Amino acid sequence: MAEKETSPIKVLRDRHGGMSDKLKAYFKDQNQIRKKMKDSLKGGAKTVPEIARDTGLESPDVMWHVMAMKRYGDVLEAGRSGDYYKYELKGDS
Amino acid sequence: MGELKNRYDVLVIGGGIAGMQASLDLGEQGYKVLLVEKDPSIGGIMVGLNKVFPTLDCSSCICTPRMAETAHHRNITIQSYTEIEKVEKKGRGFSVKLLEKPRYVVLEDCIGCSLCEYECPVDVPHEYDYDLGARRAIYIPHANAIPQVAVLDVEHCTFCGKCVKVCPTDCIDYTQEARHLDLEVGAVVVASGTTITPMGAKKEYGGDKLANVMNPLAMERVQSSNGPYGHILRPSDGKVPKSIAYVQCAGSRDKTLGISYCSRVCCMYALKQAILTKAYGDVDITIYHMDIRAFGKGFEQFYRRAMNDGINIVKAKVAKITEDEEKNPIVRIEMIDDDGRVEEVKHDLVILSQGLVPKWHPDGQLPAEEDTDGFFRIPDSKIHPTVSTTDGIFIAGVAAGPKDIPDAIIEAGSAAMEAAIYLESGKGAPVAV
Ligand SMILES: Cc1cc2nc3c(=O)[nH]c(=O)nc-3n(C[C@H](O)[C@H](O)[C@H](O)COP(=O)(O)OP(=O)(O)OC[C@H]3O[C@@H](n4cnc5c(N)ncnc54)[C@H](O)[C@@H]3O)c2cc1C
Repeated sequence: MAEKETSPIKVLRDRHGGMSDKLKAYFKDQNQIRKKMKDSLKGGAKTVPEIARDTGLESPDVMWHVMAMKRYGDVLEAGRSGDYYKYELKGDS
Repeated sequence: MGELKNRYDVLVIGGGIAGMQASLDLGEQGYKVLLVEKDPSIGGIMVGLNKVFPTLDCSSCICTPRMAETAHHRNITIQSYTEIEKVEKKGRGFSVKLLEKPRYVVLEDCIGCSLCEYECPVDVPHEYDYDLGARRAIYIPHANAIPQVAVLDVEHCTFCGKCVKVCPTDCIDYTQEARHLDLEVGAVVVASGTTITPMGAKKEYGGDKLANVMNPLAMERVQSSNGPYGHILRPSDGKVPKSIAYVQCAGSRDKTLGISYCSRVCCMYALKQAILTKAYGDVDITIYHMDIRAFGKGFEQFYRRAMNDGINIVKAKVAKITEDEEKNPIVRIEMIDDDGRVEEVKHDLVILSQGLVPKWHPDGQLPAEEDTDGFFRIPDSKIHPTVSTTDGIFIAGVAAGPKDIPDAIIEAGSAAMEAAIYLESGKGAPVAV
């Protein structure tokens, strides 16, 4: 298959003045949070409060990122511990 | 869909259940209809609801066939992701200016495969799930969206170009720009619907700062099997809530917010959500209310069923909501019936039954007047409940005032009929003369 033309992205980037500083910070934050969460989950399945304790992240943030990771197939539900579901990394994440 | 013509018999504004019903009723009579929806998908509020009162039927199971029927109707053209710029009386018809927002995706070529969405590296709070779940910067609006076509949120795009590389139909077009469209129509049906009062409106209820105080539309998504969590969990820490409270009239019948009317659906949606959550099992649910308004067909029975299911219906006014260090909401109530005593009750999760307010204030974009409550004014509401203050403009659904789905559908039929009569009488024609 011929390589696809990607240069129109430059048109879009130029038109919008590139990534805003706000988005850059948001994206950097997202990647750092995900790394911490993945490292924590490498130790086994955990609940949201357990991941929050382990990583020092705020629990509402952990909750949002766990659900985002679940939606896009990075984590799976792994049973329950009392009133909380546990989450584990999907094999290839 | 396809290429837009520049003349239609009727312009319908808003692709919720009322706008779709009005379009179908007009389309079936042979009128050419242009349905304009500002969001990337039609469906309005109904497509995101979990189940509907009082039958507890699955909401999207009723709404999505209606969406598909609208999209496939030979006489209906859907113009989604498009704003109304101006509608003006012109001769016997109206001239209409629209602004089609760029999706950066060619509508006709996208097959809705989601490959771009899976490849995109940025997660963004998803509006469809009231920010509780995530979408990507490029995304299919939701599983039931029509059109089932991706849209790029350029504000969150990192310009990495991964989406274009993975697209099997080469339908991503970064060079798209907003398009202005001019057309003429003979009559207009406005079905621009509703939204809820802002979470932060009542400072005493936490002003949108408490993690486990939620809006009722978010709760609909949480209860949905395809919702953000897949279970009923609370947002602060994923706990399965054991104690849930509903605070009624948290934005209606409240002069401090300038909303003195009753929103008519809140008692019923709170009872519905309570019944459905209770069916999951071990959970204590309390509804704090001033009075329960169960006025429709089957509603009183529904209310009784809720009480029989063990829902606590407590006549009390909620003065304040705060939270403890574990983010459990603490609800300060003043009993209405008993001795007027004041109590503080701890719950795991609180849902504010916020009132309905108009989604769209035309602000000079459309020559129809608003009433003092902000909904469209219906000068002769007893005899012509869908006729606006301007000849040729008809109002359907919640755009005219709070109501439930069956009433919105009935009104849509009435607005369609009024528009048809108007066109047949020769008063309205799409060609400016
Ligand atoms: C939490 C909650 C639960 C509910 N549960 C039930 C229930 O169980 N049963 C029931 O009968 N009713 C229920 N309702 C009420 C129900 O949601 C409404 O009756 C119904 O959605 C009204 O439909 P509509 O088409 O008038 O408005 P909407 O659903 O609001 O649709 C309006 C559409 O117009 C679009 N729009 C707005 N402005 C413009 C513009 N300027 N240009 C283009 N498009 C525009 C919007 O994007 C939207 O798609 C509930 C309401 C709430 C808040």
